[in-house]
Amino acid sequence: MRPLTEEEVKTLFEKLAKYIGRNITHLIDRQDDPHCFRVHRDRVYYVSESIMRKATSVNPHLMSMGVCFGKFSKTGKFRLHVTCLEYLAQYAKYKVWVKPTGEMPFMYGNHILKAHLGRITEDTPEHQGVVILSMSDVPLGFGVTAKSTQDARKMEPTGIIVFHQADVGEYLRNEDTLV
Amino acid sequence: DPGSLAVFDTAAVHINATTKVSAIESILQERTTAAVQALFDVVFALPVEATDNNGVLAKLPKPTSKLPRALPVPSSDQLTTRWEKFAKEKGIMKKKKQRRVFDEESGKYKVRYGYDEKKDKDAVPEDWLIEVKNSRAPSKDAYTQRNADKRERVAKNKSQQRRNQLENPRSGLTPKEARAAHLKAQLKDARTSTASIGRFDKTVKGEDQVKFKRAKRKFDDVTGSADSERDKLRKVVGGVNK
Repeated sequence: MRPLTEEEVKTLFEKLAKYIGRNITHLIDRQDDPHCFRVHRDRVYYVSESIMRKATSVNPHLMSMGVCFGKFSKTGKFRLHVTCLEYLAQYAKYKVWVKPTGEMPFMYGNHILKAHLGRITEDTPEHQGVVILSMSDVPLGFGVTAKSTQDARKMEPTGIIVFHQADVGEYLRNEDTLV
Repeated sequence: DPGSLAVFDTAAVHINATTKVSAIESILQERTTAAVQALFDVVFALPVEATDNNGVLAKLPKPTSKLPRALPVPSSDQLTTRWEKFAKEKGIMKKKKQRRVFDEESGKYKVRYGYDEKKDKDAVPEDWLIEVKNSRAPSKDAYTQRNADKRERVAKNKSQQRRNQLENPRSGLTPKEARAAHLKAQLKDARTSTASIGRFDKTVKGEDQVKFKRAKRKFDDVTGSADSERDKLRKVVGGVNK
């Protein structure tokens, strides 16, 4: 377990900024329980400081602590996992709501088609990180927009508007590898 | 100089622009034949000795002419330690002791130290008694004192060796050892002068693979100051959100 290096922090925050933008400061400065980021075996954990201090004495093998935001690849790239969805959904700037008919395809790992689109925040640019919610405001996952809001209006129903990146179904599909 | 079978003709040869090439040739021819003839005369006039295998030989005198240097002048780089420089200055030579020494008692040559040594092992040792030098009684007995003195001398010698090593890295090595060390260093440089610092190169039989030491990465403390950590994070956020 160790804190992140400057480059790692930069990589992590650049990725997070794609989804939550300026709200990263809410992750750093919390009023209730100060949290910190720690790297353990290439995975980034967002964990309460008191728990982190306790975790230093876990012997021999610490499995996980707090919330796993994602992991660093061997070449230093960062990949967000679905486990951080709770925080992304809380602080996301751009959201996409999906119709009940579109929930299941998305949760099986498919991209979101125009036909499944319920609502989308105004002025969403193209290739923007978005959080996908059901019509009852339950976070389902996150992805990247394929088209901006204006272009999405003109699309035919079978066109892809949001590329799938992570969904709640991964908890079942990738049970072994998800921490 | 018959000793080195050399003859020197130091008279000037007068050649100017007008003399023809053939004339120059003839002049030089004359001079050399005269010189060689003189040498032969001297050599054949030398005292003679007859040998069985090789016929009649002339006994050459000692050479009188000084030959020029075959090798370059030895530089003072060869003197690597303070003692070597001092010894050169004072003219102190190294005297090699002979292994064999003549033993009068047995009338044979015995070895200085070792199996068949000159010393009589059964006799009473020389240091059965050590006289006290000064009149006042010493604090230690002479044998303990002798051992302590030896230890002191050894320690002094060690520290002097270390000092010599600092002053000149080539001290303490014979020229052969110095060359070997230099060659080893050059070889190491050559092996690591590749794109992957010698890491994935095929090894030659007898050589072991180049040691690859990755620079040790330094991380902050795990339970370090939380506030300073948060400041760092905020700074990065500022940079990211620009």
